[in-house]
Amino acid sequence: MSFKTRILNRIKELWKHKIFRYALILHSFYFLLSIVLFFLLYKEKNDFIIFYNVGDIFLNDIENLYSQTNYLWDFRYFPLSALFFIPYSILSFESAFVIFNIFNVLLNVLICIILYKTILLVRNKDHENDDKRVILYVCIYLMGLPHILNYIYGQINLYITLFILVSLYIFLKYEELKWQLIGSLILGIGIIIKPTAFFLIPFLIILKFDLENKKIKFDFSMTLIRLIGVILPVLLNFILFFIYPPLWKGFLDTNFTGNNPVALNFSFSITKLITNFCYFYNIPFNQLYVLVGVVCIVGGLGFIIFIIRRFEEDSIIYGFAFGITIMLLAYYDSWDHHLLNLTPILIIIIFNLPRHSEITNSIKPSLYFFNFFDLAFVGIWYLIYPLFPFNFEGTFFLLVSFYAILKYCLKSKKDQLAEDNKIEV
Amino acid sequence: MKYRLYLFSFFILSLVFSGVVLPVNAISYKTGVNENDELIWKCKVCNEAEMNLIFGLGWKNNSGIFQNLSRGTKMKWEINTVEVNETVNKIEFSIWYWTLNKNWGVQDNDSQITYLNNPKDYTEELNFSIYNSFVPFWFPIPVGEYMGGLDLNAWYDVDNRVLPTLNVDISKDAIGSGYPNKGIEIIAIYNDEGILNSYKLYIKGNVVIIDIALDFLPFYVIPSIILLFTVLSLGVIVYIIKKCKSIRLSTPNLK
Repeated sequence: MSFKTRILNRIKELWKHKIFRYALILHSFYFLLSIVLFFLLYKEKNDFIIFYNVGDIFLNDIENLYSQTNYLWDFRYFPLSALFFIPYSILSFESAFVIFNIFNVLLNVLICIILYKTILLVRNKDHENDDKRVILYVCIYLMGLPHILNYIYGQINLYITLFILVSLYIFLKYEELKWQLIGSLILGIGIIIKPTAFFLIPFLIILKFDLENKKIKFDFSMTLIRLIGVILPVLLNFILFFIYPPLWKGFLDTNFTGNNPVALNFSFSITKLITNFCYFYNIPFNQLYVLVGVVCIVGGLGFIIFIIRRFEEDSIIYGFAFGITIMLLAYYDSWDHHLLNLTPILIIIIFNLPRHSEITNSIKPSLYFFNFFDLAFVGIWYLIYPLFPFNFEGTFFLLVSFYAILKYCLKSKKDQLAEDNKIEV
Repeated sequence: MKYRLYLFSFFILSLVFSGVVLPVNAISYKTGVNENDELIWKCKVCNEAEMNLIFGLGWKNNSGIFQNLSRGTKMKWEINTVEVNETVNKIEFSIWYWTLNKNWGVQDNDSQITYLNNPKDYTEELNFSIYNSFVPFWFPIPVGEYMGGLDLNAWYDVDNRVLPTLNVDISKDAIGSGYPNKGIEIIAIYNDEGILNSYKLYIKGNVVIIDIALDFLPFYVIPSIILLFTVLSLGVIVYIIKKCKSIRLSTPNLK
């Protein structure tokens, strides 16, 4: 059977599922809505303007890549990320936006495929044997409201999601060192595009402390390979920094002069909730110190618990979940569309846990909140910010997910076995 | 099959070229205030000692926007005329300077603000140092786009991503020797009507020495907060009840 026939047959098969039809129609609506809203309202006020300009500046005036007067909003990413946008800068702005979003739709198709394959790879043995429920959850991802903002702003989160999922799939499927290197290289390329996945790096370290037997297990060679793989693409940027010294200064000035006071926004990170509080009540603050404090507390807690986890199999999934959750809780600006990096990982966790696990009961509400309700609270923030400028609902559900993963990591083998056997009994 | 392929190609191409086909209008700027509108600002913080140190003793006695400013005082504008034509956007207003007196009495001054209708029409780099506040109290709307269109000097950074905000960073001696006597930073946030909603003047260490806010709360703010917390509280109560029920059901009957 040819590849084309196989795909057509699979689509026909999927089309029989009502939820798949709904998801496809809804997602197409999101895409078309974003195009209409772009031309009517957001043409002069979206993130894609920056990416579009970056490609052009990279080609023609690279030394001024971080000269922020060139942009509507600050360009903060690594210089090599501009390479991804060069093809778009050749087109007219409007055509580039539409093509960029068509490409975003294609990325979503790839994300769904890799999500489906990863779920089948790590699905707990007590889940249903058919793929109905897997299709349901992949469709839930596709129906997520954060896609709307992602399309309207012309954002690049889907690239990061795809790179994270592909590297996760490789880490889970292959144990050979060469594959570990390939997986981490892919993750490194994701970090170049947008440093969202930066907090995943510590969780690539294969280190486990067995609390019961007081033994440390550390796979040095695999850890080294993974770290080299993930850092290598990032280091390539330093060639550019070396050739064009103003780039290095611009990059540092843009990213690490975080000691200025900052105005309010609806980010749901703990850091932003604290700085919003300080701004609102005129408490002197330094946002860089707040960020470092939150990273140390939340990140430190996540990393320590990850090291003393009581299981080994598929632990990388939980490491990735920790990494993204920590990033969303700690970084200044965690917005609705960034949740597209987290929701696929939560879906994978739901399938990796036993079918009726208590932990799933904590993760599911968070998944549904992120997917269908969080956007509404951004709107509510605009209504109430003069008196209450805190978008804390997303933070709450992030903390619920974080707590659930912590709990799972600390669960004793006895409890896990009892949970595994619950259905069988 | 070919027919479908053509249809799909046509759909994609029409999306790609929609930018060429769809008319794109230039933004027309308006005033968000109307004649007879009253605008009142309240001063929440005023560190007079620091202000004296930074701007000299005359900072609040020079008929500027900060005249008589002190903590707890209010300032009122009453819009007299609004003029919008092809070239300018202009308001004329009466002004009652900062006072603790609740009875406003006769106005202290009459003033006007004029902007060119297209922010791109300004031929020179702009700054707002004619105001003691270094930012205007009013802009044409849409305010974010108007501010973003201005060619402001290096002191200013427009951030219209979430709330239309003008960030100002003025270093020591930037205007003249000893003026200002310390580096200052300002965050000015505007509302949808182009009116200054919040003004905070910071010194080193992010310490607020002036905090001014528009003394007006949109009608929907308090009901929205009440509704939000009611719904959240109900959610928590329903969750606790459900949890208790499930615990009761799963606990074996000891009798």
